[in-house]
Amino acid sequence: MKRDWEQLHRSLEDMRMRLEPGYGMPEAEKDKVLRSRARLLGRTPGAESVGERIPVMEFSLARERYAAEIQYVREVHPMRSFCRLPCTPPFIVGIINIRGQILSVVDIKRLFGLPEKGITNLDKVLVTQSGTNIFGILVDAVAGMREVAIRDLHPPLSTLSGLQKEYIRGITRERLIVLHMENMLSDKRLVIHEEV
Amino acid sequence: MGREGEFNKKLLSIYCNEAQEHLQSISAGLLELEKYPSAERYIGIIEMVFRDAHSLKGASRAVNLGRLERICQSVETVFSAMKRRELLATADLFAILHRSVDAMIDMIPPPGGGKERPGMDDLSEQILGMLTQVLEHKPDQSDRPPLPPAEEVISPADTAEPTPWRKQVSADSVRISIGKMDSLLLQAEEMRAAKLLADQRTRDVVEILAGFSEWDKNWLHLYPTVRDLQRRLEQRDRKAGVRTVTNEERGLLEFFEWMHDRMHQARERFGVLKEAIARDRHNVGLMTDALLDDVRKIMMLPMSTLLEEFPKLVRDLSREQGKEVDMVIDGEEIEVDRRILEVMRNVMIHLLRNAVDHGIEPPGERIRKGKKAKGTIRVTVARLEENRVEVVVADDGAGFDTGAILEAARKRGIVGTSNDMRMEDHDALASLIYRSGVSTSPIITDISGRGLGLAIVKEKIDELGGNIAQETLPGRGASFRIIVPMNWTAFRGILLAVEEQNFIIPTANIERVVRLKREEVETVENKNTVQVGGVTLPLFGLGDILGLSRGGNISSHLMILIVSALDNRIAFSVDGVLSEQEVVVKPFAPQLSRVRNISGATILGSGKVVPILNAQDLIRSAMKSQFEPLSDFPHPDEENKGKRILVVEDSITSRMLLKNILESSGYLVKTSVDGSDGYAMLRQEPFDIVVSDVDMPRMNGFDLTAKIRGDRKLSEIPVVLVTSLDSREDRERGVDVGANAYIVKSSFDQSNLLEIVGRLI
Repeated sequence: MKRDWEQLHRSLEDMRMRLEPGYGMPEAEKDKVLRSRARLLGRTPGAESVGERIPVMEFSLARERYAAEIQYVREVHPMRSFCRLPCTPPFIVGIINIRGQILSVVDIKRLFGLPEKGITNLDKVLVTQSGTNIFGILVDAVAGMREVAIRDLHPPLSTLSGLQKEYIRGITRERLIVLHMENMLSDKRLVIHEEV
Repeated sequence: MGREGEFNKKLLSIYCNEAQEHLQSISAGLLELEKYPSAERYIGIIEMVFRDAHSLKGASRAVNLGRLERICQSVETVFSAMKRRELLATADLFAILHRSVDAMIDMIPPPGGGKERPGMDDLSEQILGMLTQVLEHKPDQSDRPPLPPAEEVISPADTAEPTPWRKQVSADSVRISIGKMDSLLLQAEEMRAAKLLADQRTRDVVEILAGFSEWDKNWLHLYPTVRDLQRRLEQRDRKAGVRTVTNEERGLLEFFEWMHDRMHQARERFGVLKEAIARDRHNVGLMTDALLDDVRKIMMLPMSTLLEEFPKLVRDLSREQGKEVDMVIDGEEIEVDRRILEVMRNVMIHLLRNAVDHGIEPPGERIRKGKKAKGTIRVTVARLEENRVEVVVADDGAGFDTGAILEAARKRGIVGTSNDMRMEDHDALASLIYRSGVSTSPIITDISGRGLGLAIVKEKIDELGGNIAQETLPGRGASFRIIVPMNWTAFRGILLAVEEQNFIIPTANIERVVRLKREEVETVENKNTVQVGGVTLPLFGLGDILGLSRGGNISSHLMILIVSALDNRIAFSVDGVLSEQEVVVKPFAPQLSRVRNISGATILGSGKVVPILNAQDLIRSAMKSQFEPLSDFPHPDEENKGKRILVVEDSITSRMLLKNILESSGYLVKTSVDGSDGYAMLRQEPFDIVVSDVDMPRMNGFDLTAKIRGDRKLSEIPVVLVTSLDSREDRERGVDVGANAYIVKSSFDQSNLLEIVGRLI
């Protein structure tokens, strides 16, 4: 069988040109393209589109969905051995015994002064802690862990008062209210110190 | 936070503890050095403080705290110069060294956060400057102070006697953070629940066994009938020659037999189980008790951990007041539960402050009285039987000013002017000094004068289940004798039911429990009262006092507790008195720093959490609510309505802050920008009180106060000075011009201001 080698080489070259658009580029140009491609590939998935993400614990209370940054959540505890406590502001719903420690339990709906709508079944307590500051948050159900993109967080509704704004880090598009746990846990105004 | 950040944080927290310890040790060493110790002690102590400074220098470098490192370096150099006796141990030198230690304490970063505190540059430069100056102006060798000859000096390694102000830490001990110990204790106390649970299980099994007995009794009654029935059926079949009994009927009869065997087996096995559970319960009980006992032992700390900070406190306080005081401590090795020490810390601070403030006289006066110029405060700790300790705080000062105490009590309306009380009568005196509001101090400052000191002391000691007694020899001193338990023991409490909730009240505060007919409640001056034991007592519903909604108790009888505290007896009606039992107090987590009427909680055998009532607070709440419409809770805001306050302050931020605080409490507030503006306003409109800054342009707070006092129309208006000037001279100037209270901004907080304003109006 006779072969036209010349012809073969030409068609191979032709194919290569079609497959590699950078073929025949000057070396410097090629290097640049490769570098930018490497940058693109080396990027953390989603980093550019959504920005920094924070892990949160999502929970529901009286039909609203809330989330607390996971770094402040020590544990989720069933609502056992709970006791109402008189002589405290309404946002303190009571106290609970968690392994011998008597913790206060906060109702964030009362704290935000939101109307009491929906029935809560007072099922669980989310124990939150920052340093020595620790308290429980009243929860109907814990939905689990998820991540929230900081860029997705919108400032809370303008109808909320200053206090409420400080305790809310933001609200996502799906109306998940992300609490500002550091602000809540470090706020001296939430510490009850009342003499008769 | 990354792993490295986490590590650095941990490192820093360890550093903070270490630094505190070194600085405390240096401070104690300096105090000792000032007492002219023998030459060998002198060298020993210098060695010790030198090493502390050196270690702290290294530690500061490790956590990148450059300023602290540099100061340590300088302090270390000063100590080594003192050791070589190139530096004279003068009062000035000690003052500078004490200041350096104080400054370093301030520079320690706050626990749990961040780097060096901000704004410390100036302080650090100042301290370094002072230390450098000290070192540069070393006296020449020829000026050396006459110190004992060098050959008498023994190196500290040879001295057998351990230094008393610093416990030798033996190699077989470890350091554990308080947080970890507390968690250990909490968990050990929870083991009690396991013990109670095991009790419950035993009872459950006993109940099941009782059920078996009943079954057995009935079965034994029926079993012969079953056997008989079986026999008769078999006989009938035999006679007839055919099988008339169906398989089902036969099965039924066989089942009876089978059940008979099975039930007996089950019963036996439950019997064995009962024994096993009882054995387990016994073992768990022994183990829990042993564990709790050991953990409690771990919680015991020597009194020195409490007392070692006080010589410095006494020194600083007495310096500030131009007095000279020596503090002598005895029995510091006695061990007491850490939680008791914590409560005692406040008590001791109050008593020591009182001793310096009111007890020890200025040196001149002491010499006139024929005493040593330097006063002595002696703290003696002794172990008593029944696991109690006695702490005596005695001073050789002027003793109680009984006349002034009586006068102060009369002013507050606690004692009638006609009341011919004999001040030699100790009991009468005792009841007065512990009353809140009785203070002999002529002016309210942020540290003393509000007459709360001894009231708080008494309350704290009552809480611990201890007692306090005092003795005074006019002109020769006063002493307080405190007896408290060494262990954090359970106390006895009464379990109550109020509005479908349970509460515990300490048995110690209950004088009597009585059941009365509803008709026996009498209304006197629109208040409910009851007659108990021939005495008429005011009656309150405990539910009302606690602000619980009323379920409308309509039974014909009332359960009534006679509660006694704060020298008062008040009757409280409750829905039920359930039992008396041993109670272990569990403090609340930090968010509930102080709750009205409730001091903590306890956990019942069932695992139920029950709040513990604070009897002192209940009495106070009841007395307050006397002036309120029945069954309503006190609203301080209502009381303040219409009271007019003039705020005089040149800084707009401070002005707004003050206005805000006062307005949120219901006061009507007007502001003015300086003294002359304020004075002009006072002449135009009536005000109930003036709250004024001191440092202001045109007319300062002192001048304004003087002006008010000099004005015939205005002279009765109370004046509160709020200032950043905290010195004795300023405070005295405040008294001189006629201010009623003097609050230093550094210690400024809302409740402080509101409380003082509330008292003065």
